[in-house]
Amino acid sequence: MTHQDSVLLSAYQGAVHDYAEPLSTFAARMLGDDGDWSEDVAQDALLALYRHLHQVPEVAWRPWLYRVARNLCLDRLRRRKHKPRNFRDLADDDDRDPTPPDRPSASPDVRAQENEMSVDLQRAIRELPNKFREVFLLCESQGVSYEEAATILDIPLKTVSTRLFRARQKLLRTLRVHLDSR
Amino acid sequence: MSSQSTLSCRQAASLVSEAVDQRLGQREAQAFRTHLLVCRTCRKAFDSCRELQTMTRALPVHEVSTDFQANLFERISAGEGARPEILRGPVALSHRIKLFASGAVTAAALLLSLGLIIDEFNKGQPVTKNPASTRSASNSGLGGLERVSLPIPRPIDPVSFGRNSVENCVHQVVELQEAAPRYRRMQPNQAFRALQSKSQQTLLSVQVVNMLDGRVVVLPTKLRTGLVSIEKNLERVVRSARGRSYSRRDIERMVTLIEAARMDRRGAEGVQIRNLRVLDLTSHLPPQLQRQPNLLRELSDMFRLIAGPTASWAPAGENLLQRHTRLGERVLLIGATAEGGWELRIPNEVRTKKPGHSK
Repeated sequence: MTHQDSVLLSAYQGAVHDYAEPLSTFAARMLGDDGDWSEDVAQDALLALYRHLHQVPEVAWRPWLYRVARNLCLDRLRRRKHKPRNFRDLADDDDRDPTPPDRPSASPDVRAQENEMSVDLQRAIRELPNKFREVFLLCESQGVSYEEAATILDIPLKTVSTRLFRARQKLLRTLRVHLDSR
Repeated sequence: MSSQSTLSCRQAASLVSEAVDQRLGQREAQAFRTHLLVCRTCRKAFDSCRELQTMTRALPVHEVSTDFQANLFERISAGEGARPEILRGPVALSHRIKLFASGAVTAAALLLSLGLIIDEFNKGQPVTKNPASTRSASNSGLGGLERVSLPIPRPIDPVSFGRNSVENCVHQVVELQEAAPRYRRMQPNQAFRALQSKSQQTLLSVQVVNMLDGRVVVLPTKLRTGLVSIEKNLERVVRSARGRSYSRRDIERMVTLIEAARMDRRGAEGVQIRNLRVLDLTSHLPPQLQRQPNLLRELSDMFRLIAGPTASWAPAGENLLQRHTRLGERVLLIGATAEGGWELRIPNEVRTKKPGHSK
């Protein structure tokens, strides 16, 4: 192995450490109730990067990984569409949703309200159409810039902005009850 | 809403999302802030949007299992992701130009196909399939992981591709012009068939070079003007089939057209290779490639494997800009980046004016 390869591999190990959780989170929210697969998606994306270490410039790793993860998620969603539903699919969504850790300082009422809101928000995100969900998750949840999202999704910058705007509008409509009660 | 506000509520509502992300320009942001001061409804919408942002960012992270890394490196060491020939071998030329992973495959396949077509037309044989892309297309039924592990076809160096295309084209034009007087002495029908076929091959090479000019290569002015007039004349020659039999006058007209266009043969030496941003191959696909349904299907399958299941490839005609009104259809663009690499772009919409709309 050359010096260049060893440098590349050590950078790759760093990327595995840095991107495993963000990719898994992105995949979990993209897949919605199929979130069990999110870790597999993150692992497959990182494995794909390993195969293409010499072809993908290091600066392009992040968008590349998100792009692969997104494609894997869309594949899975598409397959699931044609797959007969089984018992796991029929399970109550709330059972598998990770709930945020409680803040010790918040009162029980506030905590209950926040938990409920968080669950509703996750459900609302899951119900967004794919094209809105992916933009929303990338920009809002993963902190990806508009420019990077445009590269990942291969859409114009203006489309990123429009889709994000629409995604927010849809979510706000769904969550109006919670927001109005604040 | 106060009449002093420079934005209407409708305008302000459309800016809320970008305002939350602090992406408004200075003037827009100022106008937006002024509007919020006087409009309670918009202020509430802005606060809600900001609240949504806070809530989303506070959502729990999906933690990976403790053995995530161990599993991944186990898969790698089990050979699932290993590419020992690349990792252990010297860095290939293709890697030095930093090909973008997915775009490189498609770009190489398209360029290879164009090159194949030129070669095959020169030999006068039908186009053969690229075995690498056949293998790739056969993976289409597999999972997403296979999509990114496609065997990469022989990468093409844009520099040598550009240079070879120009040299090949100049050689063909010179050969055709030198052979043209001989057709005067042949039987008209026989001469016509030979002229048609030879002109068609040469025209294809000239069209490819003219397409590459300004995108991949920069031709010297004399060579460029020569090739443009040759393309026009050869198009007239190729279009000149009118009946079943041809007179000597028809042949004379064709030969004159071929001889009329002047080209500076030495110009090929002054060809420069450009470092261009975008090369749109699809909208300039030669008609011969468009008439190869198998090859197109193969490229199309390959493209979908790379670009994702939702992407679709519309093989557009030469006159895409004139007649393309199907907005929203995706079009494949292959771009050569400023850094010398290749990338794939799939714009979501093609915005073109409908014919007749221009004033």
